[in-house]
Amino acid sequence: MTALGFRARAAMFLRSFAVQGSWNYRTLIGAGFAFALLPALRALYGRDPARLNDAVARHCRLFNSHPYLSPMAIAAVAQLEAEGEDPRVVDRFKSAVRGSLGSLGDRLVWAAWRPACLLFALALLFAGARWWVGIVAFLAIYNGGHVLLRVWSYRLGLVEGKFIGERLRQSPIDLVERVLTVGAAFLAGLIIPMAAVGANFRAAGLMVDGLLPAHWVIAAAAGAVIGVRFGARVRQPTVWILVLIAILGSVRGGLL
Amino acid sequence: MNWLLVAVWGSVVGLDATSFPQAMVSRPLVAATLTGLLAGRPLEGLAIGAVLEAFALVVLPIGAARYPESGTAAVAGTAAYMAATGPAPVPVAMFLTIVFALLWERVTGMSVDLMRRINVRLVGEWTEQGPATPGSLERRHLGAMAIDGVRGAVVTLVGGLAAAALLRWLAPVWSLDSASPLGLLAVAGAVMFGAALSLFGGWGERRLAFLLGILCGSILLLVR
Amino acid sequence: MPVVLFRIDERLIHGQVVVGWGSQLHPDVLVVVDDELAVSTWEQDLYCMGLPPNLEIRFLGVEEARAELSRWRDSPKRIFVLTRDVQTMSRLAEGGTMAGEEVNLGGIHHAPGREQVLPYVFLSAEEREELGRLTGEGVRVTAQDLPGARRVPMAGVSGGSPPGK
Repeated sequence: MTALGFRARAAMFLRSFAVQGSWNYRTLIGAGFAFALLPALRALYGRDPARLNDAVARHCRLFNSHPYLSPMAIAAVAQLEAEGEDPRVVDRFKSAVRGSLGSLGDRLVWAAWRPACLLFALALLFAGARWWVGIVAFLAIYNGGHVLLRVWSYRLGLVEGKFIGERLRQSPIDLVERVLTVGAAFLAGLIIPMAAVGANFRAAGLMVDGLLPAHWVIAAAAGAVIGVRFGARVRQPTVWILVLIAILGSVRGGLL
Repeated sequence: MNWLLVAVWGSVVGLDATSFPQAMVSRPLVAATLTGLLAGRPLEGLAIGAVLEAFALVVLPIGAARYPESGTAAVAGTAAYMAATGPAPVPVAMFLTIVFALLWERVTGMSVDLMRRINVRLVGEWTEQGPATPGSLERRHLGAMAIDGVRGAVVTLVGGLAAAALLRWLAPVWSLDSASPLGLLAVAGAVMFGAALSLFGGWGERRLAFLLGILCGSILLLVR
Repeated sequence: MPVVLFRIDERLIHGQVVVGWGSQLHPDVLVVVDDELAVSTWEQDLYCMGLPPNLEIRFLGVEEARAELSRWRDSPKRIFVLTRDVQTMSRLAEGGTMAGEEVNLGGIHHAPGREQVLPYVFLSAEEREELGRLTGEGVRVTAQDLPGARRVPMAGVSGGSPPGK
């Protein structure tokens, strides 16, 4: 399927885990992209330093992608370079995918898969699972999906080259997103009653007599309604209220 | 608390968030629990991490905007809690630890912002000036990652030591007659778990699944 | 329904366009005007990967777009017009076809020969001239990356000096 050897392909895949290592406001992950692509460039142009340097310079420029989908772009570009594609076409490919691979990953991973896995782990823990069961379950399930997505996107890039768009349009992305967000909404609901009675503190041995007093549970239920009503906007005000209470308690305790 | 170990762990957590390998050990839930484990008290670490995780859920790293870095702040706060208390859990100290971590994550976020500006010099402008050689590219890219690793260790260590001093000073005197620190944290957690619904389409699109979840959660509580 | 937005954005379809402006303006159709893209289906597929399911998309060359421009104003659908550079938008507006309209300058990235005008706008000397030509066709140009952000008039830019920061 490719002119690139196994070693170059494996090295590129491993390097893709560090694609965001030099994230900067000017070229975003441009240098990281070239860093990950380097094994292919060395394999293809290694005997001709001038061409190698030229290729490195071309691929250092502005690029962006979701990190877990970056293997798709890296593999596809390696494939295009191996086929001797015109550098202008390679550049156009990179400009075309840098927006879509970013927004696709944001939607599927940052706004769906990751919170769904975290809520699942929290639900397990709040329901009484041992601490390590919750942590190991989160890391194993989340990274199972993470690594699978990287492998799938890497293979897709190697096989399809610049035609990944056509294949990706046929995959059930909207369905996956829907299933994940419905499941995550269910889990968010599931843990609210448990968080409201302080299940996590009971598990940590912080509450000897079992549950929080009723007035705190009612206040937490009201808090959940406020959270649902205002969404992510409540975050900063909530932090400031906690800070204020911390200061008041310190002053009251005879600090000043 | 072994602060050398805390610094190394802070470095790993700082790197994981963006640079390498985004396996999400940098989530507050994981980072705080494992920090607790370093002190042999994973359950208290978990209790801190669960609340911080509720606050971190609604922050999405979308766009080039500046955002708080919750992982290193969770390590700093939890390490300070472990150093300033023990062996029995102290609810007041836990409350103050969480408030500290929610403030410190703004500082750690600023350190990420600063690093990304430094990276503009280190790789951004450099690659535009060309001619780039493979070796120099690798050195600069790995150099940027090394800076990130040092950054994570520094913000964790500085935050942890400062928070430990604050906790030793404030935790014994803190009091509000009507307030239970755990009650306050339960309310804050519930607010943020409610707010998380907005990530998945909000009340308008996902209320059925959400209400079904609340029902099942309540039943689960009654059964146990 | 008139065209809800004319936008120049080097990245074409991405988060700011789809989520940022899309959620404010609720367009039905996204029209991408670009001669090269209009004849390249593999590139079109790539740009469509990040698109939400309920948004129709069309890729047109400049001449086709000029021919349809007047019909868009009477269309029942809400239309969002995107070009990747100033030149294309300026060709679209040639001959006063867009007189009285406003063009949104959303993002042109750093490249050799371009100077920074705003954090998200870098312009070369030729692009400044093209902006002047666009203004000369009766079009107002303002830079604004996202709906909530500050609107910066670009009238002075074509003259050579960047607007006050």
